[in-house]
Amino acid sequence: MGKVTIEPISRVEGHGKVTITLDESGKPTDVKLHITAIRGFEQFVVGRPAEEVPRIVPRICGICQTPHHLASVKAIDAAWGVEIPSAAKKLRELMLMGNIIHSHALHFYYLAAPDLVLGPDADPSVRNIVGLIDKAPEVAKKAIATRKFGQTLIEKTGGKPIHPVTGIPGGISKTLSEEERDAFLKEIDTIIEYSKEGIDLIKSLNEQYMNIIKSLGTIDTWYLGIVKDGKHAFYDGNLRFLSPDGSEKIDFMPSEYLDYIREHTVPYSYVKYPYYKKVGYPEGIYRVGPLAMMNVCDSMATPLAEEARKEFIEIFGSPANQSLAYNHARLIELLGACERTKELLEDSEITSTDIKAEVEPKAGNGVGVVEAPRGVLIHNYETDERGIVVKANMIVASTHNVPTMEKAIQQAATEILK
Amino acid sequence: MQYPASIRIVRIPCTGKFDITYALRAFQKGADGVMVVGCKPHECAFETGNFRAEERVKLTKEILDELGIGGDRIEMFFMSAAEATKFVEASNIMFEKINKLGPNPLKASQGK
Amino acid sequence: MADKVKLGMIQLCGCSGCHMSLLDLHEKLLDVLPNLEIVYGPIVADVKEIPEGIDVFLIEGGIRNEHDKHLTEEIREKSKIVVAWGTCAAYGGIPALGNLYSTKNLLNEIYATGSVDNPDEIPEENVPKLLDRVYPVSHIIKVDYTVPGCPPKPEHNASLIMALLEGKEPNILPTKILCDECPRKKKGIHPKELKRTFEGIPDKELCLYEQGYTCLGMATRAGCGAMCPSVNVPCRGCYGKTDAVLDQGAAVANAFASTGDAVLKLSDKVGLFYRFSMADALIPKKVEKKK
Ligand code: SF4
Ligand code: SF4
Repeated sequence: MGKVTIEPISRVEGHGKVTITLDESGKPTDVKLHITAIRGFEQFVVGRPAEEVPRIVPRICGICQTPHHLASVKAIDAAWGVEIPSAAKKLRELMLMGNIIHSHALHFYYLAAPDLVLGPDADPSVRNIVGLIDKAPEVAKKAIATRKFGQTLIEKTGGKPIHPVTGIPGGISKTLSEEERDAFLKEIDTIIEYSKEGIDLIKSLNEQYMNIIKSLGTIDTWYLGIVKDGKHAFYDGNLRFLSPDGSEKIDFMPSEYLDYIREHTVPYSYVKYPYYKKVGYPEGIYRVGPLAMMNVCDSMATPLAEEARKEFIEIFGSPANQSLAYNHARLIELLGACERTKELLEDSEITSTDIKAEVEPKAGNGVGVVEAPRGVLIHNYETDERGIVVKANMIVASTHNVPTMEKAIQQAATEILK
Repeated sequence: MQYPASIRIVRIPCTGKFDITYALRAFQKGADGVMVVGCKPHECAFETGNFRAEERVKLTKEILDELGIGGDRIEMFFMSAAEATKFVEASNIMFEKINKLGPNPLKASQGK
Repeated sequence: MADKVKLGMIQLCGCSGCHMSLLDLHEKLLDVLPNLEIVYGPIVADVKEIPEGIDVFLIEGGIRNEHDKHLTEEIREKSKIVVAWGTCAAYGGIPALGNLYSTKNLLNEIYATGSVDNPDEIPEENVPKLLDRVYPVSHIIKVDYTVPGCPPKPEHNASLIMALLEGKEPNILPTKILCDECPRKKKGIHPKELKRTFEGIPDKELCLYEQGYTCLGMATRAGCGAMCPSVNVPCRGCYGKTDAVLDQGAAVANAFASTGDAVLKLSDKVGLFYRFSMADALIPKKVEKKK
């Protein structure tokens, strides 16, 4: 009997290791994913004035800080019963689009593409963004331009490209000037073009790797995502669970999340395992993120992305269950986010100065949900009458996927070590 | 009359120069209490030095409370430089009070 | 320019934001990256063991658990230059707000939130034990350089790397306070009331602190270009203290004390004054009452 430890798992935020216990014949008998870091945000936002929390929680993740900032401020708006001006909502949504663009470009081009473009067997020392710049400089340049567009969008709406600060209860603290808007409008068509090219690239890569895609990490789970009137949505909407075979759809409001989602603590990982409450643990584990979003929505919210989704279904079926199809789904969301950015920039209200409603702190309980690049993100706070946080709960995007990730690793280990 | 032997005196030109850092430093180094002694109200050579110190001491108390050290461990006293007996009196009052409070809990938590 | 610099990068108790900020060099990355050989960096490349003979190691994040501590010590042994990269590594950063709670309470709270079905379970198998608090890297090992900022601006990262490539002292950060680079006008007064960020709408030209907003610019190192005040939001001190100061929170408190009763009414003073620097404070954690 032996034990294999793989540590650290690379190219993920957060810290993890995998332990594989083998029997005498070298077959894996037990495969575990351990998330080895915990910081305690749910505890240390307690006692802080609620309006400070959107400036604290972005540090949960330096890649998807913006969704944390926004889910947090939405949770406070909800707890204090504030309706924010519609221009403020649009500016916040634009900020979120910036993050989706940056993160999806990062995830695909900087983290995943090196494996696919250079081949998974290439030397690990070149199988990274530096290698990509070398071998496919054109792709790398467009990737960098796309990410830069996203980061600049966050900076001009959020004040800082990483860890934005402008979301305040009641709205947002910064307007978008006409000049700033025009600069983005000048570039957006190029960025939309780049994301279309990204989809072409993934389609050709898919063909090359189809047998791996179809065998590695194909898992049946539930899916969770955000939809608005059935359509794919990032900033606002209801939550929707979809059953593994696609036959059951359950829609619910963010404020009802506790009736549908539970978490189970396992002794060997700092991350809690979320599951669909009605089904129970562990059968009710689910996936979130681009793949889940393709599955749960009836359609994308923008025309080019919808075309791309239809093609996606033709290739992978619906619901798509292949973990490696995430890359393709991610690029469809990237295109959708770019299209939505253009719509928002063309909205005459986007440069409005009516961006902040009056706010009174009070005792309340509020839930804020957004679709982060890696999936549904939930922040829930309870405040006292002075508006100080007394209880907090956060279910972050990558957490939802951990149980399935573990299952995928188990499956891969059995496949590879058989 | 004598002031308690365990008291260490740190001279500053005017309590207006009293910096909250000094108090925190003292507690970090293991002091059980801090007394800030300034000139009588309206007798400050720099006009408001002693008031400024008083404001800082009040805020330090609250910081110490939030840090679990306890705000009662720092006090401000006003007297003129000539009033030696008053100083001894004040020291003894403070000493008594700190004795009741027991040692600086930071020391205990560091196991020293 | 010399040979490629062998670079190591790691995220400990941080968020990966410092790594992201390096990528925010965007097209300038194409100039910087070819000079570097990334010999260790789990976020961007698959290398499992920390190799020997590293020229420069950038540590992101503070030290929260035994594993972080162990890695930090190993990095020191294997690297010529170690940089405390970003505010978490330098001063603890946001995760050090956890120092205001005992690790026991911290764990109890996390594993008993409203959605947990088995609140009695606390993970212990195969996960590193938490230390009593978050520590800055410099409390565990000798650090050669500190680059604060949450995250450090991309241009600071670039100047750091360029200086190290050329074998020069990286001298990249101003020693002034944030107020010195803030465009807002000061009258030299202290406010009578302190406001929370959502109260009213701040005047666009005047100093936020003088308007009563709790801006920490006077106790924060310049370098970011006053990003937050420029978008009508008070500074929270993410670049840490200046060289002239021992304790960032005390520096804030000294200034705010002049508002008299106003500051006394403020809730959560420590959580504000030490927002990014709790781990580096003279009193770096809340002392638990003995039972
Ligand atoms: S300094 Fe800021 S950006 Fe860097 S790791 Fe810490 S929280 Fe993240
Ligand atoms: S203004 Fe303050 S909080 Fe904002 S980025 Fe600059 S140093 Fe950090």
